[in-house]
This record gives sequence, structure tokens and C-alpha cells, in this order.
Amino acid sequence: MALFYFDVREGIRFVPDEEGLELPDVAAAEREAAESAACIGRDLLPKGVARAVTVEVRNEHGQRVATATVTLALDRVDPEPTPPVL
Amino acid sequence: MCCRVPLSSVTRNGIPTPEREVRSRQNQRGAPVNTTAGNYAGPIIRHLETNFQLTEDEKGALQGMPMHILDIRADQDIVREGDRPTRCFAIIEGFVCTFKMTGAGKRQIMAFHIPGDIPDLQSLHLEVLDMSISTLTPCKVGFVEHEVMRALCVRYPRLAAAFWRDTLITGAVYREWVMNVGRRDAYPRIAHVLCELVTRMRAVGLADDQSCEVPMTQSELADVTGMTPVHVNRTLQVLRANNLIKLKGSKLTVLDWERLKQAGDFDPTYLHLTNTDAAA
Repeated sequence: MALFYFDVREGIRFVPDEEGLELPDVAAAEREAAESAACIGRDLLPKGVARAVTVEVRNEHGQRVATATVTLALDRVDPEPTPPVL
Repeated sequence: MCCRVPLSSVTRNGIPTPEREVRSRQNQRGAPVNTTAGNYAGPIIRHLETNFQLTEDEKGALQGMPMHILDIRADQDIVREGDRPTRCFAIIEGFVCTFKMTGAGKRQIMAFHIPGDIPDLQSLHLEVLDMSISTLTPCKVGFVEHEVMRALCVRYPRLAAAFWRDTLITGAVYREWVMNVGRRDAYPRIAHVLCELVTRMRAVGLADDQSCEVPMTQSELADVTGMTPVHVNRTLQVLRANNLIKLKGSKLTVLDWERLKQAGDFDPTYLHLTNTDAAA
């Protein structure tokens, strides 16, 4: 088991992890980051408060070992098409 | 409570695994004590009286119940899905949770229980347990044989009604939790769980004004809310940054009850705390 820290970046907000989480290895930490980024993104991205959510994983020495980013792409057709005339 | 893992601890484990071969009978500390409930009935009486006034006779009957007292370490199963219990247990000290595991081994905690609760009261009428219950912290629990409970219910119909009401409220809490996990975003979801904890603790006199102990690690809170521990940590930090709560070790202080209630979309009606001013 090793200690990993998961900092979260969401738009202008940066939430550092000061406590860490014990996990078996980097692969497990990467999975936790991916799942967390997806969950946090599910929460925040549809509201438009952030365009992307990134979870950065640091090891016990503070070195970055993995990053997971989720984004949501919205594309509205502009101008809005007019209904077809039949 | 010294060996409990506080909320802020780095050890966010505590996830039960199938190979965790634990049974309360083998994991007790010290010898079990067979006694009459006496003072150990105090928390049960306080709990039942959150919505129902008991008579002196009824309190005396609860104090006179034969009870088997057991001290159990943290993170031990007390009963398990599939068990056919012949007795119920009340929590005298400590905190426990009701949970189920998916086939893939993920845990969902569907309720936490505080002193005075009788988490497996349903086993009095439903033969096979459909959930598991484990300790979150070191606990003192009191087992009461079903036969004793049945005799009590026959002799004191108002106590039977109180037990019935208790299981109905348990159902109301499950409904609220389905709502919480299914439809609330992370921020209100966590705020709601904290509001419920403080309200229930206050109702039985275990919250000091706006402060109480949070018996769960972040990993356990993740299993309560269906979130990841990282997401729980992030959400708690935002609640702190917004000055709604303060967390020091395992101690939670609510800094702004009205705003926390609002953040958590919390209406305590479902707890049915009619006999206490904590219902506010």
C-alpha cells in the first residue's frame, strides 16, 4: 500500500488533497482518479461551472504520477435551423 | 474510542471483504455479561422517547429485560445477510451501519445507527436478515432474545406500537436515502447526511449544541453516498470553504445550521422526532 494525494482542478477552483488515500499501486490510484474525475464532472460539467475537471495524482513525495481529465463538449447549431416548409 | 479512525485520517479503508471472517461472538473484548438491562436500557428509552412518551411502567419493563452485553471492536460484522437471528440488539455505545454488497463486491451503506437504535428490529418478524450490520467504531451492544421482546410486546401493547413505529421510521429514512443517493448532487448529498447525523444525535442528547462526532471515515462516507473518497473529500472541503461546517479530527461543528439545511435540502419531517425540540 502507498499513499497518494488527489488534487482536483475544476475551472478556477483548485481543491488540494491534504490527507491522501492509501491504495495498492499507481494503477489503482489512476483508476480512483478516473472514476473521481468522471463523478465530479457528472456533477459540475452540466451546470457549466467548469469546462473540464482534472484530478491530479501525487505520490507520497509530492511527485505527479497520473492525471485524469474529463470534459464536456456542447455544440449548439447557430443559427437555429427553421422548421422545414412542407 | 481511542482506536477509531477519524474522518480526517489517511486510512480510508474499512471496506469489508468476504474473507473478513468475523462474528461478534468471536470478536468481543472481555467476557460477555448476562444481566438485566437496567441502566443499559437508558439509550433505548431516550431513543423511543424521541417520538413517544413512555410510562414509568414501560420504562421499568425495558430496564427489566434480560440483556446480553457485548463489547465489539470497530469494523466487525454484528449480523450478516442470510442470518436467522433469535435475538435483536440495541446500541448502548458507539456507531454501526447497515449495508449490502453488490455481486462485484462494492458496498452500499444504507443507514447509520447511533446509541439507542435497534438496527435489526425487523428480525423479530422477518426470519432471514436481508442486510448486514457492522460496527463503525468500538461499540457496546445489548442483545435481547426475540422471546423476551415478544413477551414484552404482549404485556405492553404500547411498547409493541413503539417498536412498530420505530421500524416504520427506519423505512422513512431509507426512502429519504434513496432520494439522496439517486437524485441529489454531491454537495447537497453530503450536506444532507451531516444534517441527519446532527439532528439524530441532538435528539438523543449526544450532540453538544451544534457539534457532534462523525463516526465515519471518508471511505465510509463514500459508501454512504455512492461517491468516491476523492469526491467526498473535495465536497467536504467545499462545505468547509463555504463556512458551513468545521471538521477537526472526527468532530463536526455546524457553523451555520440554516445554510447547511438549505444546502442539504434537509427537511427533518422524515425522522418523525415529535417529542423533541431537535425537530426544528
